[in-house]
Amino acid sequence: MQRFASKFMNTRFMVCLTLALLGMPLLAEAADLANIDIIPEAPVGLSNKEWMHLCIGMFGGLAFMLYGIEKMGTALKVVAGDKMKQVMWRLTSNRFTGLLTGIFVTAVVQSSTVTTVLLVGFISTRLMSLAQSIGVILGADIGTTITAQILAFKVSEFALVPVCVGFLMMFLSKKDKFTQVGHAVMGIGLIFFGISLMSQSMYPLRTYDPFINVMADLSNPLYGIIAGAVFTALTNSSAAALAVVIALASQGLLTLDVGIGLTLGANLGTCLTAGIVAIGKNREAVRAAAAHVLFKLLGVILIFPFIGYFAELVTQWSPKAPTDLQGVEALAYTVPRQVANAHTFFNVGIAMLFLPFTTQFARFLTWAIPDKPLDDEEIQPLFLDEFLISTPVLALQATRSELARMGNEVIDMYDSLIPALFHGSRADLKAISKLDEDVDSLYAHIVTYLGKVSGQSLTEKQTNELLGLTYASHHMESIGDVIEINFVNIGLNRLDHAVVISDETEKVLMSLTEVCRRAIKDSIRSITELDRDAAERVIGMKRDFKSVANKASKHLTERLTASEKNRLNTFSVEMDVIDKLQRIYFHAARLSKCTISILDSEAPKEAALKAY
Amino acid sequence: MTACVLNPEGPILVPVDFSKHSEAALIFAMNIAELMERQVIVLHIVHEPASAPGYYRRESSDDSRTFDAIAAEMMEKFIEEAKETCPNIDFTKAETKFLDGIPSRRIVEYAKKIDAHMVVMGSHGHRGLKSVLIASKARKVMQYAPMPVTVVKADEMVQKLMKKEAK
Repeated sequence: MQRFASKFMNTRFMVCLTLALLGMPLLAEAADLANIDIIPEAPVGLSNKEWMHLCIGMFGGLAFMLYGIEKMGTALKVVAGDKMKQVMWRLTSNRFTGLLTGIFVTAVVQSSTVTTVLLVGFISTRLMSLAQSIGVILGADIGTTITAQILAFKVSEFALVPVCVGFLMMFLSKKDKFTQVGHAVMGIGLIFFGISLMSQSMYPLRTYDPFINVMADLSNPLYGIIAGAVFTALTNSSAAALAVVIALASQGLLTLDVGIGLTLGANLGTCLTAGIVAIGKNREAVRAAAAHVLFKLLGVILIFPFIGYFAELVTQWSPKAPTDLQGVEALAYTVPRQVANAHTFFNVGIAMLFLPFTTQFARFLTWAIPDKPLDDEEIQPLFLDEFLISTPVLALQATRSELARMGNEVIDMYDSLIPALFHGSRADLKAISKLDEDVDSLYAHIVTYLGKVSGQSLTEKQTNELLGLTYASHHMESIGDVIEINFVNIGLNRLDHAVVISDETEKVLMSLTEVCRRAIKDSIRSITELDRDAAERVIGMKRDFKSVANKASKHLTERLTASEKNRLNTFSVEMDVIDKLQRIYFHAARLSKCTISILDSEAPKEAALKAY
Repeated sequence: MTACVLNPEGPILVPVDFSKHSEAALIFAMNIAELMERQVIVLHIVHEPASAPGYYRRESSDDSRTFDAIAAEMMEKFIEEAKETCPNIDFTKAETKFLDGIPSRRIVEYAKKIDAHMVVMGSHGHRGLKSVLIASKARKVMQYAPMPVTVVKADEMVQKLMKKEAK
C-alpha cells in the first residue's frame, strides 16, 4: 500500500486529479444551488453550470494532456535514453539517415522539442556537430506530426484502456524498466483522456455565438498563426497545440483554413524552447537552434501566400465526409484528419525542399553566427548541460566527461608541482595554488549538477552511480587540495629554511612521486571511463606504494645521522613529502573504490556504501 | 600589427587535418624548425565541415567520447605515422593544441595570439574549377595571416607517403 501511495503522491498528478474530478462537478453544483453568477457576464445561451463545465473541462483536460505528455516523455527518456543517444550519434553521418533518425527518435519521444533540445545539448557538449544535426532537425519536424495523426483517429473513446494497462504495469512490476514503460503507457492514456475531456466540454460552444465569431476572426491566417505560436510557446509542445486544435475540430468548431493557420503557428512556436536552451551555449549549438527556427520560418513564409491552394491540396488528399452529413457534423468528421494532414504535409514539404541544401544552410549559419573570439576566461563546465538533468543517463555521462576534465587539471597541477617542490621559486609555488582555482570551480559545478540530477526519478543503478560520482569528485578535489595547501606549504617551508634536498634523496622521493602519479592517472581514468582494470591496478598498488614509501623513510632516517647543517629542517621537509604523497595515494585508492562500487551496482546498496 | 610580422623568436605553427598533405607539411616544418631552432606547435581545429557529417564519430568505436577526445587520439595516431615516415625526426619536440571553431579564421586568430614566426600548412592542391568550388583553407590563411605562410603542396611527397603506406 505504501508503495502504491508513494507512486501516486506526485503533486502534479494530485493537482490534476483534484481539479478535474472533484472541482468540476462540485463547483458547478454549488454555483447552481446558490444561484450565484460566478462569471458576472454569463454568455447568452450558456447557463452558469454549463459554463463551469466548459471551463473546468477545458483546463482539466488540458492539464491531463500536458501531464500525460510530460509523464510519457520522462519515462521514455529513462527507458530509451541510452539507445536514443546511440542512434543519434551513429546514424547521422549523412543527411538522409539523419532525417530518418530524426523521424524515429521523435516518434519515440513524441516531441520534436525534446529532440531538438537534446541535439542542442549534444552539440554544446561536443558529442555531435551542426553538420550531423541538420538532417535530424528536419526529421524531428516530420516525426512530431505522427502524434497529431494518431490523435485525429477517434482514439479518445478508448483513452482509459492505456491508463488501466499502464497502471497495472506500474503496480505489478518489480522491474524498474517495466515500471517506466508502465508510466509511458499511462501517459499516452492520459493524453487521450485529456483530449476527450476537452472535446466533450466544448460541445456547448457549437451554438455559442461569441466563440463562433472569434473563430471567424481566426480565419485570417495571420491571427491564426499568432494564436497557434503563442499557445505552443506557452505549453512547450506543438503536440498539445495540435491536440487542442483537433479537439475543437472534432466538435465541428473549426474550418480547415483556421486549422491550417493555427497549425502553422504551432510549428513556429515549437522552435522557441530549443532557442531558449541554446542561449549561452557554444556557437555550434546556437547555430543548430537557429537552423530549426530558420526552417520553420522560411516554410511558413513560403506557404503563407498559397494557404488557399494548400487547403485545397489537403482536402483532396484527406477522406471526404459521407453525403448524409451536413454543416457542423460534416466539419467534425473531416477537419480533424485534414488538420493532421496539413501538419504532416507542411513538415514533409519543408524537409523535401531544404534537405538538398543542408550544406548551404550550414555555411549560411556559420557566416551569420560567427565564432566567439579566442580568450582565456575563468574555467566553465563544458559538459554539464542543464537540459540533460531530466535524462539522468545522459546527465551522469556528462558528469563523467566533466570529471575527466577536472582530472586532467589535477594531473597538470601535479606535473607542475613536482619540479617546483624541489627546485621552484615562490612564484612557481604560487602559480600552482592558482591552478587549484580551476579544480575547485569545476568541483563546485559538478556537485551542484549532481544535486540537481538526484532530484530526478532514478533507477537504483543510476542512484548508485550518482553517489559514486559525488564521492569520486570529492576525492579528486581533495587531491587538488593536498597539492594546493600541503605541498605548496612544504615548498615554501623549504625556501624559508633554505633547505637543499640532496640529489640522492631527490631520486628516492622521485620514485615515490612516479608511483603516485600512476595512481592518480589510473584512478581518474577508472572513474571517467568506468575502467575496472585501472581501478584494481590502483588498489593493488597499495603494497608496492607502502614498500617504496618505507624504503624512502628508511633512507631519510639513515641520513639523519649525517653531519649536515640544517639537518633537522631538511628531514622534516622530506618526511612531509612522503606523508602527503601517502595522503594523495589514499584519495586515489578511494576514488578507484568509487568506480568499483559503481560497476558492482548490482550488489546491495549497503555493501556499495561500505566501499566509500 | 607589424609586431606580428616576422617575430624572430616565435614558434612555427602547423595547422593539420590529419591528411597526408598535413603530414608532408609537418615533416617539412619539423625540418626547418630544427635548423632555425624554433618550437613547433601542431594545431588541429576540431570542426566538422557541413559536407562531412560524422567525420569524428566514424573514427571512434566508443560512443561516449567527445570530439575533442577523438581528435586527440587522431592526433596521436597522426604523429605516430609521421614518425614512421621519418624516424630520424624527434616529434616529441612538437607541442599539440586543439581549438574549436571555423578552421581558417581560428588558425589566423591563434597564429596572431601566439605571435607565430610563420605558418606551415599542407594544401590539397585542387586546380581549375575544383579550386574555385572547394574553398581552400590554405588560401584563406594566406589571405588573412599577417605572418609568412608556407604552403606545402608537395604532391610528389604525398604520393611517396601514400606509396610507402601501400607497401
